[in-house]
Amino acid sequence: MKILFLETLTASKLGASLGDAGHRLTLVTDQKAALAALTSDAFQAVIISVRNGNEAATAVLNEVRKNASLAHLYVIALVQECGEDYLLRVHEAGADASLRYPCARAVLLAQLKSAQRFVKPLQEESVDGKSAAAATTPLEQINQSKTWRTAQANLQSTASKFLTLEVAPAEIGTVTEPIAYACTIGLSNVQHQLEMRIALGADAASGKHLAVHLFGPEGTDLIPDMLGELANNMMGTLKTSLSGESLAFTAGLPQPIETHEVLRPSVIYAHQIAFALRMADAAVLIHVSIRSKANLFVRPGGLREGMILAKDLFNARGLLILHGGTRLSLNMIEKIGGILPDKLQVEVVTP
Amino acid sequence: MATAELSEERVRRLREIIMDEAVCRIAGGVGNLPTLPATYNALCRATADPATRTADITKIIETDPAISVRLLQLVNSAFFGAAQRTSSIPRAVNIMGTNLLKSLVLSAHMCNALELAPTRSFSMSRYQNYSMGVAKLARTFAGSRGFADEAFTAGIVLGIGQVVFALRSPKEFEQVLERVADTGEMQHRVEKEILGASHAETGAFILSTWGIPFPIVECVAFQFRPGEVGPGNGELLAIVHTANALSGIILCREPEEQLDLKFLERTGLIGELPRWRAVAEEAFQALT
Repeated sequence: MKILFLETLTASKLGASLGDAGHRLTLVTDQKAALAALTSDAFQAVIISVRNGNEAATAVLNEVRKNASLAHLYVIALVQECGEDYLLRVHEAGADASLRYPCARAVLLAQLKSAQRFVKPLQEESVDGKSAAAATTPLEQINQSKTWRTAQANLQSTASKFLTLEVAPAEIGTVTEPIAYACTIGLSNVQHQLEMRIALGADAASGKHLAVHLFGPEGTDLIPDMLGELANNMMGTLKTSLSGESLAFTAGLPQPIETHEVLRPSVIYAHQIAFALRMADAAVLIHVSIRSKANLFVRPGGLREGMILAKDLFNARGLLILHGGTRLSLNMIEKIGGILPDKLQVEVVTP
Repeated sequence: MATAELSEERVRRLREIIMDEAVCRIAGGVGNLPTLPATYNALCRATADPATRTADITKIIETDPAISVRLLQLVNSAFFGAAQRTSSIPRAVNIMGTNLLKSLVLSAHMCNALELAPTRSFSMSRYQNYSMGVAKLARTFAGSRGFADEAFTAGIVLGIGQVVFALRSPKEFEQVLERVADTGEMQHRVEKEILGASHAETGAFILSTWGIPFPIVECVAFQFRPGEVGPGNGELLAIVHTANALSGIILCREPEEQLDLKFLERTGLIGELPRWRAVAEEAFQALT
């Protein structure tokens, strides 16, 4: 595994010994170097040695956990002289596992071996930023591309230019207002059967604040347009950075959607990023997702008229509900909704 | 067996159900019906002998590749919550326990039989998962009542009559399944109308010819109408019936009426229902 070891204890021998076990180790000794390494290189796991009251370690953990592009990292806290309270804080800050230091090298190696079950294979990237690893499908190629991993930063920059405001990334949880306005826009690639979606949501106060800022006092009537135009700009950014001449806007214009669909689209997408962008007195929620259009997994509540069942659909007892290939009518959708539990997914082919 | 006192009346009622003309027509006679697997007989003989060791059980299992594969699939599944995957038959035998092994042999045998005569409108893999869920619930409900293993086995074989239908009357069974799919009617009622018998009594018939213990055959026969069972202790039947009904209600949104509350009152188990429902809902939480 490729591991970043933030070493603030005297455990360097332990850290160095991981290399002997076949792991690729980058050793850093302070918070700043750790964050720099995480943003400039791709890792699979992070080991952070922490001592009671060591705020640098928890600060790194906080940074890792609020950065969507680092969400895959498996974090092990190596704790020394820590009471239960501090240990609890370390886990609350985002550590996946903890070990008491001093610990045997074998124990740490066993922990890393166990972590491999949760860690995605590392995709090496060539210098021009294009994926050099064995991405076999167009969906995987996009998911592994630098564009996807840096989507949040790109969209932040786009929002900042469009809104002519300083825009900072924020955690979704920090935006507490209910969403009042929501829209989505999509790109599709017919050849590779890919679809990309950006959904935006804003609470009433944020929407008003931003629209008035852009359009003046009359702007309050233009909140949906403002949000739609922002979505349009963001999708344009992604399209450009994906070099996707073959990517076309699905419908051309952003569409209004139900507010709850910003973060919970009725169709299941393969890869998703969700975050918030915060400006002075305003915040916008963003949900970016990509999927292969070849097969969709849809909750019963998300089925739409015209979708085609990819396979025979059975209930839990094994009894047929509908044959594969059936084009769904409203009656059929109602019937499925009355039989299948909400959490089950139905495999469909989009029309 | 404390759970089903073998009163003459009780035996008579079971016989009446399974010796029905339609059942005999479909399941009676010989030809293309599964016989009791030799592995099951061998396991029964081995487990009855106190000198039997795990190694002896392992040898029996290893002679049947289909059972070996199914055993490994099951012990490695989330159902058994194994911390680590195992590919060792002796280890799998230890995890499973000999009584559950016998249920597994019956279940796997039934499923293998149906795979030889696939029915387009019936998913055996779905059904296997479902019956495993029912069996697990039944065993949990039985708790320390002393018949937890019987409850598990009954749960596993409740649907065996469907295999008989698929093998003996495939066209009519397909017709049943299509109509259930179209109308949403309860399967056993449509079976009765089209085939003359439901898979409950048909399954009980085949199990009785295999010499499966009476209480289990009774559970299968009366799974949809437990109130018709003869007098005496009906706890095992009540538990298996409830596990099956609650699974259908929660997982397939079937109507509540299929749960026979009067029978639960008769057996003195009605007070357990709220707790059992909570257990079932928790067990199926990930799916609903």
